[in-house]
Amino acid sequence: MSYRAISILVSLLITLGIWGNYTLGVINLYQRQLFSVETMYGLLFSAVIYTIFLEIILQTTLAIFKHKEANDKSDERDKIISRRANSYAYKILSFGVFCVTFYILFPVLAQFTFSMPGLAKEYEIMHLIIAFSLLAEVICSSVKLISYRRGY
Amino acid sequence: MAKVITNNIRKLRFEHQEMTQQKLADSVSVSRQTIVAIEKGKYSPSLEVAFKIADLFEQPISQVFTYQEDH
Repeated sequence: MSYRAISILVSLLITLGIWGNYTLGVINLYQRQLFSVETMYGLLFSAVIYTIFLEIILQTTLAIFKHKEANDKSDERDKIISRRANSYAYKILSFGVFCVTFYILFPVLAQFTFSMPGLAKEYEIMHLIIAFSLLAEVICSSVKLISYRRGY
Repeated sequence: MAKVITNNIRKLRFEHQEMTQQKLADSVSVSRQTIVAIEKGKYSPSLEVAFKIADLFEQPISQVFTYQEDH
């Protein structure tokens, strides 16, 4: 597996692990009826800090072990794969913008599809945006990994 | 039947003093992984890279890359 593929896989696993843990944390707090803006901030803050910390540590370690490949500039294949992955992510983000707009314009209808009791509407919108950003990131990384693995 | 692009790069490398994938990659300004992908038929290079490879092996491009039926 090439340096780039491993680097993407590491980022994908960090994203899935930490934000999956955040989602489980939110669900757990709801079940125990402890969910509030303060507990949400705690979870959110730790998720962001852990993401930055793990990315720095793991990507640096990977670059040390694969220092020859890490210094390589991206070539035409890397750029094509990146463009392809970004086009998928763009579609997900566009759909996210549509959903958030729908949520803001039709809050009554939106309550049936996505609702976080105990949170102000702004925080619900924030979670929607985070969810679509993460989904776009996961799709982008997955398309890159598949393209590196199966060829393009 | 679908047509695919195949190449003789691996054979040509060995005919040129067993040139390594890394050396070929450096000569045509791509990564070694891209050369691996081209040799395996997983990636079709740009015209520019295809011409650079052909030029390096002093062969016409049609002798390096062929567009033929998938068997």
